[in-house]
Amino acid sequence: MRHREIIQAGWAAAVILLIGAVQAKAQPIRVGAAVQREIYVGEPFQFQIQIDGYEQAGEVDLGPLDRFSPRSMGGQNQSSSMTTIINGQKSQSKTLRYVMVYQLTAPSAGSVLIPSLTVEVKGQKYTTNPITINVLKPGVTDKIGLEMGISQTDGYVGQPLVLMMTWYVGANLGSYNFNIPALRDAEHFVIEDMPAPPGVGGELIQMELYGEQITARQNEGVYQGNRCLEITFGKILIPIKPGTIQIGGASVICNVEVTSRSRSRNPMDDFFSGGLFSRREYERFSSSAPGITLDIKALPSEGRPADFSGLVGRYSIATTAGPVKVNVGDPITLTIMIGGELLRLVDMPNLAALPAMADNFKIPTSQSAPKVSGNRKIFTQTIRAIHDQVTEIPAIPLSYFDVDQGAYFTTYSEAIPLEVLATKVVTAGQALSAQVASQASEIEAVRTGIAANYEGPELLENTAFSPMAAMVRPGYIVLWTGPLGLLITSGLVQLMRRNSPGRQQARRKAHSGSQAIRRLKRIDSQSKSAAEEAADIMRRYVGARFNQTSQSLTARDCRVILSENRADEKIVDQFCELLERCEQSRFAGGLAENDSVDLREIKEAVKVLDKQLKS
Amino acid sequence: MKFHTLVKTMLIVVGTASWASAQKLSAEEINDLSYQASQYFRQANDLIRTSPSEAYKLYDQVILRYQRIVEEGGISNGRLYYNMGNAYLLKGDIGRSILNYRRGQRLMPDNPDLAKNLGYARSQRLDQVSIQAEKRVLQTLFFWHYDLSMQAKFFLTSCLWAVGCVFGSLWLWLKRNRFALWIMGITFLVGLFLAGSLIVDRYNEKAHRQGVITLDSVVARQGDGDNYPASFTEPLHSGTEFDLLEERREWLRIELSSGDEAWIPIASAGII
Repeated sequence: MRHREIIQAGWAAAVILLIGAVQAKAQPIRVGAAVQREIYVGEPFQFQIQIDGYEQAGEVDLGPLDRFSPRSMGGQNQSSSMTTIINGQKSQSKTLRYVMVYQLTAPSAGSVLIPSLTVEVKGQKYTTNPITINVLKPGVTDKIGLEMGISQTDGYVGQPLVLMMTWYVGANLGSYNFNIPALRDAEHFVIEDMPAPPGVGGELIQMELYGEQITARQNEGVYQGNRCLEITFGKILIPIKPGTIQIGGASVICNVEVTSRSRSRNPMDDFFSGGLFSRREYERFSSSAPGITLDIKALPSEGRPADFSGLVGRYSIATTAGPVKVNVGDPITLTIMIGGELLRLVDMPNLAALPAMADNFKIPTSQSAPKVSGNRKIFTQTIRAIHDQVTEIPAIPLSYFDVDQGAYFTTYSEAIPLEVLATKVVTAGQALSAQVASQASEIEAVRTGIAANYEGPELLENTAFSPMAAMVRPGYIVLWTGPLGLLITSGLVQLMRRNSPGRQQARRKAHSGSQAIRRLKRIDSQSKSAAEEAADIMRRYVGARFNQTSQSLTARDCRVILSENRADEKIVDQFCELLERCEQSRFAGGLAENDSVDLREIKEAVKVLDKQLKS
Repeated sequence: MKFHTLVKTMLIVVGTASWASAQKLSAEEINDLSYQASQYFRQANDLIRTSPSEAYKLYDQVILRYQRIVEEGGISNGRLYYNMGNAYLLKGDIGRSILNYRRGQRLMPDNPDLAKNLGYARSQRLDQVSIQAEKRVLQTLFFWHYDLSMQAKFFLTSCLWAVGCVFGSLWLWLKRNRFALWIMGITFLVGLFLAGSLIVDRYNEKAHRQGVITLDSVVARQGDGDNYPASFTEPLHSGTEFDLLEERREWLRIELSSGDEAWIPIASAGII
């Protein structure tokens, strides 16, 4: 069994190696063409040119496909590679393929031949296989309709013409495809979007046209006696060549829902009310609109104004300004409104080129971006009168080719009266001497407008800030922990010093007097133990003051200690006498009335003694 | 089997990490983008009078490059947002210019150029919503909270902390010197205010989000659907700023500076 498996594995490896060896050889270049299956008249379909053995696009001569209106949809490298490892042996194969995709439109129904094309790959020419396609003609229904119109059938080169499409929809639709040759006729027209779809009322909707979203107007309408939706949209065509231009007929092919039926007769399906289990059926229908012939004339060369900027159609210009009563140098906001059919082409009139403006006004080069409001484009410019002789903002001309008159025409805005007052500037020279007239003009800072962009390396520094991240930076670690360490160390040192015996003794000594007086104040002079308590306080005072054990001190001991410490004899005598009397009271069981303890006298004696000892 | 799983996991992790690092722009690429943006900006400024449409395209290129520096280069710099705001403003997009100025302002609130340009952009918008008196008073009283960047506040707090600790130590050594005690108390108090301001900033970053309307106009509604009646007699226009109260499906509940609340579609605004 094992022997057989080894033989099988050997054969498999040999076959794969053989395939690898064959594929490792240079893959020959082959070029072929393919199309999708179902093709209808007037509906775009995909045509693919497949280049095997090469992974880049070739150069294709599309001349033979002219009647199919070819349009490139790009291409894709579909090369693939495969790596096989068997028994440690690695083999690699790569299949090269590039697919170029075009969109074609079948010109007629029936059997149509797509001729072979020449494709140049790596300097060699190859031909694709011809393909015969069966082009179907979609059905016609009164549920959909299409109309095409244009604002006028004769005009001039550069004149905006509005191509209007009206699509009637009286049934549920699936997918749809428009074929409007005029919108792909780059040879005769520049195509522009309309600011709003033609017509009034209704609802504005978004729909797809040639892969782009456009805005259309949806209204209720009637088509061939049936109520339906009327969808209107349009584009602006600007003819770029004179002569007779034939716009081909437009068409739309739609999947129209013909019926909605149940998938089965199973009673359970009815329970689900058909929502999930019902099936809509669609059929292909088309509707078309006839073509239009245009008669386009060239613009005459005679009478062309010097400032003609290429505007053709119907245009108007108006201006407003404010304020109209100013001092020399004050800003005046000039608003120029230009109305017309195609506002994209309208630029701000060059005010600096008008002598009446340039001589009387300072016109900055910067200006705010124009705004479009309705069918008007609005430009705003700040100007400043440069002398007080200015009496008006002059009329501003706008030259265009008037299609109604068939001639160039220059229209003017109305002049705006201005009242400009001289600005009085008192200079230092005038203040010192009225004879010296300053020629300097006042420099005024403009606070409006915008400041310039930033440049340089600081633009690319990452300045995002997080306090948590900053805390771990060395600088901040030092800033936060260094002084804290200093504070904690200082506190600990102070605490240790405070608790040393010498310090405690010194503190006790320093506070002994005040402490004794405080305690004496708390004694009730009427109590029997008052003398005893007073004697204890006095002994404690002497003990604390001279670092002695207070319990064992007598009046006599106190006298010795105090005398040794250079206390005044008289004060010592008074203190010791008072202490003796208090002790007598303690040991003799009370004193006579005339020997009673006077706490006030004791307090005074302690206070005087303490003061004398401290000094 | 476990070993294989471990190896696969490691390979996936290493692969993902290398992919992520490959996505980030190199310093050289960032420099190139910055240089190109400056060049395009100059060209656009030259063309704005003669050919505005071309200039607008160039401004778009400028914005794209700065956005790449921010998003792919991972650089967060107030000046980048400021430059983007300028480009949007010059191409007439007031909403996005204010949005970017506000983003820049978060990183450099005390920058006078940014304040000037933001003020100008705000003066150009159509909706001038009044600011509640309470907000105005707060902004005046706590100007230091609104005007200082987080970085500046953190630096000042750190310095005050250090000064406070040093004077605390001096107080301990100088036999309870009153002057040292006062300095310590004042520095700690001011530092505490700044630290509080920092905490508020961090909280606002996470919880108190703000935004700007970027569409030309949007109908603000009383609920999160097109079927709700409008909140205001006029639509809101590009550049109107708001506080974000709630985000629900495709709608945002917002509060204007006047205190009025409304709902707007999420696609009509940008969040700062």
